[in-house]
Amino acid sequence: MMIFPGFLFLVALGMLFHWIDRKLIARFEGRIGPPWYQPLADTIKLFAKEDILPIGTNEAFALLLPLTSFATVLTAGYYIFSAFLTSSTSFEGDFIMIVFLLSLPSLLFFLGGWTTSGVYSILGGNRSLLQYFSYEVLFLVTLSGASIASGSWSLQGIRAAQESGLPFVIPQFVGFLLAMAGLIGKLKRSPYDIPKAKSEMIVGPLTEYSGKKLAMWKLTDYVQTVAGIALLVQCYFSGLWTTYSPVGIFTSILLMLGLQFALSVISAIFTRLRIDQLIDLNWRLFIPLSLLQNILIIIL
Amino acid sequence: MSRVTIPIGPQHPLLKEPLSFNITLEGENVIDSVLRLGYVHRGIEKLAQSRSFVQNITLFERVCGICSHIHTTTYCQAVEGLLGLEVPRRGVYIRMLLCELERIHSHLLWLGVLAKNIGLNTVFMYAWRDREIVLDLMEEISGGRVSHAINTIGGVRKDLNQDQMKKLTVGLDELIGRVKDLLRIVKNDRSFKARTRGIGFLSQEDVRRYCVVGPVARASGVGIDLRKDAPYAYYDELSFNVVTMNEGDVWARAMVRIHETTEAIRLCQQMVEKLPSGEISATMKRKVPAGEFISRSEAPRGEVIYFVKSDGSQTPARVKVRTPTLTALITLPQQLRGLQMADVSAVVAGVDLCIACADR
Amino acid sequence: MSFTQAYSAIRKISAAGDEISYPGLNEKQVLLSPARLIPAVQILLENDIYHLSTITGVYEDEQLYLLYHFWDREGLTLRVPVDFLQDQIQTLTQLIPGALFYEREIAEMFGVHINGLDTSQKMFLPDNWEGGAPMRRESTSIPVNEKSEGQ
Repeated sequence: MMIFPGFLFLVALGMLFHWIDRKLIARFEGRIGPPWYQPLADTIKLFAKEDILPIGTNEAFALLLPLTSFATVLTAGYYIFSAFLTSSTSFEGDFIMIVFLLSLPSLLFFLGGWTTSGVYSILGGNRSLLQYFSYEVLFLVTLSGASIASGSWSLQGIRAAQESGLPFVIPQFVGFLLAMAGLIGKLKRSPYDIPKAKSEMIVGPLTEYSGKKLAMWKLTDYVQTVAGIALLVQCYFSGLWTTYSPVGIFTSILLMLGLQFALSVISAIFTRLRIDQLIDLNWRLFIPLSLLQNILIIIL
Repeated sequence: MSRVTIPIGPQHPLLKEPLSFNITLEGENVIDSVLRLGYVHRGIEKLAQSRSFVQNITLFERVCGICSHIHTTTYCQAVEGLLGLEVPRRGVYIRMLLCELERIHSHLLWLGVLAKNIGLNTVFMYAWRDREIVLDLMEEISGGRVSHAINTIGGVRKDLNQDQMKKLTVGLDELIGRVKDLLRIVKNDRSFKARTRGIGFLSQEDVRRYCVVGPVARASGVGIDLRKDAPYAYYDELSFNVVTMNEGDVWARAMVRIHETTEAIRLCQQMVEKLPSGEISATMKRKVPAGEFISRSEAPRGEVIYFVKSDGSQTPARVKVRTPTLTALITLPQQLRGLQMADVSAVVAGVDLCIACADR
Repeated sequence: MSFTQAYSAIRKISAAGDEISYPGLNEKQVLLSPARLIPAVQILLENDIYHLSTITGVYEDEQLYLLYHFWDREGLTLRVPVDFLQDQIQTLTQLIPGALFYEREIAEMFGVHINGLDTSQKMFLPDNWEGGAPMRRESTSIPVNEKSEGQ
């Protein structure tokens, strides 16, 4: 339990994917990029640093929030990854629970900024809340397309529906693209990294965090990325030889790497969008498309 | 909505040099901003009064990091004017060559900074990688990447040999291709345009009222360029275009600067072709006679003016420097009014601040 | 509407009899009394000469002059003597808003009082500057503020 798909596995996988991301973006930019142990080294270094908080911060909260964040993604990750290997951990309704758990970190991110109340933290937090409302909704709506099509609220059910038919990426291709957009918004990656926009809000809500707490926020980020990617693979690509066997696992890993590659490419080629452009794009284009997609699924 | 005041600077990832402005936000829109300069004020004009004319060249090199050569060029022109000294043609050509290389360097650096501020890290990396070519060329000529120390009163201190000229030609050819790529991005990339169009607007009227100079003025349709209007050195012997655009926003400034980079590369190529032979400097008389002289030149950011007054003694009686960033800073509060917080970074980068220049 | 017209019009209201020429000076200069500054600037603006490059403060034998450097393909400088006992210099910011920073610099560095200019905020010098106007001839050394405590 501890090892796979528990704490160690998720953290290691998260770091691996984070390194791949940084290396890819570096290569796109014409740089060399960090060595493979960079995320591990960064985390170790952060744990050794002094923990300073502004006066007046509620210290208990400031510790509780990153911890809870980390715990939620670990739990979600446990369920997602064990579904790759066996159906026994899956229960009816676990899909909704997973999506809910994955949406908590964004909310806690905003609260984290609120707790440490610096100007940059609050302003970054406000933006992150706006982004949260928009992109979590998008993520949920598009993924529920998968569960509607499979007629089940469990991961197991979604996988089974795809294995007996087509993988959902084919009939729901638009939904898949929108889910990717939702994932980028959730993870606050470029082009949606307004809350963390270095040149505007320093680091947004995380500005005042340091040491172990900052390390935990970052670990949450890493694990959330892999959990999100894995969830997308399960919901959209499950029919593609992703059975409970070594071949299946291998294919799943390849698919996850492919999605990570796509995410890195998107980060490298776009500028950061302004908060109003982001919200605009979401509510005028993405959400209507995803609702349309779901309606089509229900009808057909 | 309540009003929030955000301090930008003096330390901020946006700014390369310390400058403080407090922005008052109402909701997401900027209402007002208050500027405070002086964080890098070193009292250079006062210091110049207690150093000899030749020692001052070293002093004025350090007014600014990026446009160091143009400052010493203008200063030397002023003192040479007082002395009535004519600089040999080869020396002037080498000066001009370095001035234009500096212009290329400054614009490439600026493009990277703008891209970084709006989140397009890839362009930042590309522009700065191309900047390395220019820095290598400048190092070939003067021995220093950013600070050259090549000017002296009467000419330049180092000559160019055939080997260096060959390297210059090769490097410039490579640069033209790279800059054309960057131009394509600025002109066509939709996300770049989405973040830079329509913000930081200055009309022609504003440019006149605030006496703005440089690419900021040229992007608003006012085509002032000292190299064409009042040619100093031998710019009247070379052919180039003055680029203006009419939109007056940050995107127009990006376009103007990139086109200027291409023009500067062509100027450099012409200079390498036409480099006259001969001496590189004339001997300076010991004493600078009493008098006043005003020397102007076109730095990467606009018009630089040096006023030098000598009273016949060893040290100048007065040296006054006015750098172009100061003119752009006056317009910043107006440019920022009504913008969203997210656009502040693009506008501040678009103005191409060089606070060390402005503060002296 | 031209440079030469403006130049001759300003020379008519000039305080000097002959054309000013300093040895070496490469641009035209006109000596004006402080009261004639605003009319001269208005003449320039009428002739479409709007670009003020900078304002220099310079000493000539104990007398401080303010030089207003204008430019329109040629340079023209207005030379105005400053009398510290009488506040005669008016601000140009009503006519040329871009003169603001230059005037504030003169006010701060030379201690010249310019009517109509808001000098409550320091521009280049630190807020707790105690030393008086640094560019004045009398200020030969820059005073060092009190040593700060700590390491």
